[in-house]
Amino acid sequence: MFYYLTLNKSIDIHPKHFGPKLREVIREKLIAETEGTCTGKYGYVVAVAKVDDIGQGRIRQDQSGFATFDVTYGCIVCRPYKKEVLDAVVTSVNKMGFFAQAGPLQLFVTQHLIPEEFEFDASGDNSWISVDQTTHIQIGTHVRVRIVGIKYDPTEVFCIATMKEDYLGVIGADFS
Amino acid sequence: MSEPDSPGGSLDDALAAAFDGEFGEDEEERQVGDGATDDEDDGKGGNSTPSSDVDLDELGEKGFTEVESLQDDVGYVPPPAKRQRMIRFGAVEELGPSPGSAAAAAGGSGGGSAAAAAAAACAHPVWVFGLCGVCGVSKEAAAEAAGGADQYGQYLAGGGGGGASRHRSSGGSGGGAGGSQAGVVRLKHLHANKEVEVSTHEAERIRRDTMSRLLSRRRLILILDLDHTLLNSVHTGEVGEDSAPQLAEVLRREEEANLGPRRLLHRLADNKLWTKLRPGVFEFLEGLREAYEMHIYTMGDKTYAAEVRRLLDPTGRLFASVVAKDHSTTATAKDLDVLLSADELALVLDDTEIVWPGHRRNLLQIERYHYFPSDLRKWRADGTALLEQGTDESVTDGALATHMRVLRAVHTRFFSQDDPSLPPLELRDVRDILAQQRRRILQGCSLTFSRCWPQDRNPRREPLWQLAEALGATCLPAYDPQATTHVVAAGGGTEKVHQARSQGKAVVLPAWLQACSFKWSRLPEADFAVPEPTSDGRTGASSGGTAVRPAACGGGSSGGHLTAEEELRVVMAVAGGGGGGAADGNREQ
Repeated sequence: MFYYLTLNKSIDIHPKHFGPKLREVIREKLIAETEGTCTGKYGYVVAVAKVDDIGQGRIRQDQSGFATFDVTYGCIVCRPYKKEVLDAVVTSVNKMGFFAQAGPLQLFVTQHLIPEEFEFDASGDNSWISVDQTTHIQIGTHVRVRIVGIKYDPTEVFCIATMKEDYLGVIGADFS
Repeated sequence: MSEPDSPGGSLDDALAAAFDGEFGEDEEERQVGDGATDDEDDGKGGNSTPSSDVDLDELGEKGFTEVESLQDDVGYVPPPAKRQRMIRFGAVEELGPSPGSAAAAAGGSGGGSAAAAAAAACAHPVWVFGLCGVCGVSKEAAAEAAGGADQYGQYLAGGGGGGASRHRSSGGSGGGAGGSQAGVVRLKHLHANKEVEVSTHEAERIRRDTMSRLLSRRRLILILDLDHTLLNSVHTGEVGEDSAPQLAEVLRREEEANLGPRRLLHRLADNKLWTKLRPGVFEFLEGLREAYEMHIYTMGDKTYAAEVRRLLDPTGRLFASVVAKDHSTTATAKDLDVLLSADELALVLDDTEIVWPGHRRNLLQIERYHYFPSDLRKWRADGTALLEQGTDESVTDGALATHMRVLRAVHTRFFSQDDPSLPPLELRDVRDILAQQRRRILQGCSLTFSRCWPQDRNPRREPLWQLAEALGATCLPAYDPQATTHVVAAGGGTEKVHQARSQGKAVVLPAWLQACSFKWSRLPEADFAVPEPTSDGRTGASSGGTAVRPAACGGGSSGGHLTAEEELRVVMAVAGGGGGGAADGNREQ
């Protein structure tokens, strides 16, 4: 689920940037340090929307010359929840399940959590095909899954998801 | 902020004015802010505090409980999930109403097994991203919950004690039924940077599934090596000055032939590599794609492997998996365990035998493909590479074409219905069939060896002997005038050679055996005839195969027809002639 949050962060700036472009530098540094990171608390920071306020800089007293600015910024975060249902696009298929991507989230659906009527088929492209041959899960297929477990890395979020419940499954054909 | 007592006071003022408002007051304020800012100043990664204290976890919880309370208000009970029924096995086992609604309400937690207590007893067969593939708990949480003494403890101990890349302690053989999951199989080639771990038990299950799937589709598995098997690659820096015009010539010729993506000479890796595909490779791949599920297994690194894969297969649909050096379980050998396939259905095409220690019987050894001279130099001091000679292997008659024919024959034989000598389909082993095919090559030949190895060694352990037997020949320890049909001699002039010549039997070099093995047919003995001892070491018509088996034999004891010097010359000539003749032997007729 996506949220718009207002957060604070302290940014250190090297004295060489103390010039007319200081605010821009602060903004760029903020973006570089927060976009793409993720934590357990807020999830994955997708983008910094705007910088609300840059506090007054304080020069550090440790002889490094750096100045620390308190920046308040608005950002969009993506935080998955454990029972959440979301749509994803399949990125790779193998005999143990398939990998899918939903925005910045990487999901894996194991064979155990794929409905029984699907069978793995390795002729040609790897894919999971239903017994009655009507539904295919290949690279590019849109699926609807429910998240079962989440793990946070400093830069990525990984989830395990299931497709084995009502109203979940393939919702769109090959879009690759 | 102006300090009137500093001499540069006006400069300070000017600076202060320029940065008006940017910088806060000095020490006192810094100390006040010290406590707060100190623990937030490591810069990287998420030490943000909300200015409005929002807790996303709480929000999420609220949302879900709200939905549930709404459902309760209305009296709506979600029906038991239809997909929990095991339709496939005919008997419809519905989850009973209470576990059903418990499972549905518990949402995502493991609808995996059909047993009623599904939510509780997850066996954690697969770990991806450090999470259980079925119920989603993280590995650490599972370890704590289980308390360590039972299967999870073993599981983690097996995984942890497995060290960097070794695993599979009990080898999975008869891997304990049900719960005991000692040992883990780590698969690194499925996802770009995360590995998937599978318990041994689960790996067995997947293997069985794979086997039944392959048999029902009438396909076998073929694992292909890249370097020297399907292609030859060198760094652009290694290609010498003299080769440059020849390369240009080849490029020009291919441009004219207008082959497009099917050309054979390519530059890879931002022009740092020259890669020459073996002639006939596209025909080989296409000819076998129906019959075999193909995988690439190389000792190169994964970017190289991915690039070559794109070259060989632009559509990306041909190779079921690509395993590179970092994906192997051990650093110096290759093994089939990472593919989770069945050994009985898999064949390997590779140029070296030593990298497949456990799977010699699955291996079809192919002649090494040396196109670039600098590459040939690494293996042998002499001989001319194909580029220098300006020729190339034949598309229809070269090594790949031969092997394609052999593989097709094995496949046909494997799936043949009416052959009474074969066990039923489920029990067939492709290795046996391969061995049978191989024994046809020299069927009916009886060989005696001369001067091939020192007298004091056990002949049956000699690689030449074993090679000959694998090719279907009978090996005799001594010369038998009635039975022996060929004498294999590394040098001329021995008793056995004389006797054989006097009776008109063929006398051949050991290279003949190797060449027959590469070509999968009985080559004419005349091409490999041992020269008469009177000629001084020239090999005449010999056009031997590549790797000449040990011509280094200590045969001094069996009568000295040649002086030691002449003998040495014979040996060197044989080795040299073998190398140079290799390319000749493969040239287009």
